[in-house]
Amino acid sequence: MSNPLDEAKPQSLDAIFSMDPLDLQDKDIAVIVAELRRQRVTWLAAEAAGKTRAPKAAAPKDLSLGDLEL
Amino acid sequence: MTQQVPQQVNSSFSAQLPTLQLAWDSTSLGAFKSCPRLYQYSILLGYTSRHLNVHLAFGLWTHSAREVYDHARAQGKSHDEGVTLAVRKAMELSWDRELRRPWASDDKNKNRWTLIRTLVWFLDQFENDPIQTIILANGKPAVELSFRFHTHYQARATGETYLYCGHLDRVGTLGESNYIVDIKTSKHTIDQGFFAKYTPDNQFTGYTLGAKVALSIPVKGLIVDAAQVAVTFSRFERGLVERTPDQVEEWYNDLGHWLRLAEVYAEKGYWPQNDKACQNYGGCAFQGICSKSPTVRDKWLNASFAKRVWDPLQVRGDI
Repeated sequence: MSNPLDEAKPQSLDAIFSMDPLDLQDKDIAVIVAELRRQRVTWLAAEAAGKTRAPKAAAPKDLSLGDLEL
Repeated sequence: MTQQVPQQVNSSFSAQLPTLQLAWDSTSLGAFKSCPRLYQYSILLGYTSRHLNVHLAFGLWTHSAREVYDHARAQGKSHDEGVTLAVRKAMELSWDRELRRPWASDDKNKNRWTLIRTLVWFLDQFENDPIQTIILANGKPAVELSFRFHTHYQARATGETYLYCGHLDRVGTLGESNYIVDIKTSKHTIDQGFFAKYTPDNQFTGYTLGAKVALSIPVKGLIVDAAQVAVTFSRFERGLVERTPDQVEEWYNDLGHWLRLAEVYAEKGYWPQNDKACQNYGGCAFQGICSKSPTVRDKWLNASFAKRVWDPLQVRGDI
């Protein structure tokens, strides 16, 4: 199977988003998901580097971050 | 005029006293607690905005797509297969079939692209979720569960028993405890104050009671998966919102008082304004109506709002 990222050009995303969803193939959705995952990796890296604004405060005191695997 | 009665059939209201609601849910009870006039307009008479509420649609579609994912995983499908099915569902829901075009949101934070992004990022972040969805006796996952139960409160005027109804997104286990899991979306940063605002909370306490009484699933409260939906990213925080048995009992005791008050208004055929609530939650949709002379409000209501039936007895999922 070809890498959906190869096709994840803005114009192809626009085209997919303009399609009637009933006509969407799984490969069309794979293009969307691949592009969103690529964006997430980029954003997570920026977040880890402190380039994005962090949340103001932690969760409630009785929330175990370890338990929740955040 | 303020003494109208429902024009359309709504099975949640009494046949003997048509202005008396017998089957309540968090939406109708919340409206009544906030302002009896708001309750009259939005629940009793069924007036609603003619325009799709961006925040409501975004939240509902996120829930629906998440439900598709949960069912897929419960059926043994892989994470990626579940994501594909969930994205397809969200794409379908956010397609305007009448106009044959994508949903056109005027909100830069909540639109079709950020809906799909929030969904994919959320599902990926919680792919290995420590919360295990409870599997019901019928083999189905405990997602999108409608509940209802008879309260021990009765209408004095008719002798009919009040019911309480609700709809739970998901019920899961974390460690040794059961929790209702709910997703909330916001464009604001998720901080401690975000979770703190749910205690006390009409919806969440009623859910906690409903899970125990109607579904026989004792829960400690809710786990809120909060999604901050920004223009360029979606960030998630998870918080616990717990309820002690005493808190639930207090809520249920108060429910009896609210129902008694609702019956008084129903018998009188009059639901007074609470003019201290007009600015709550970004402003009441009916403030423009209430600001007009009482003699012309009916015309303005019919001209400005659409109608729908809000019936808590309508089941959305399993019950």
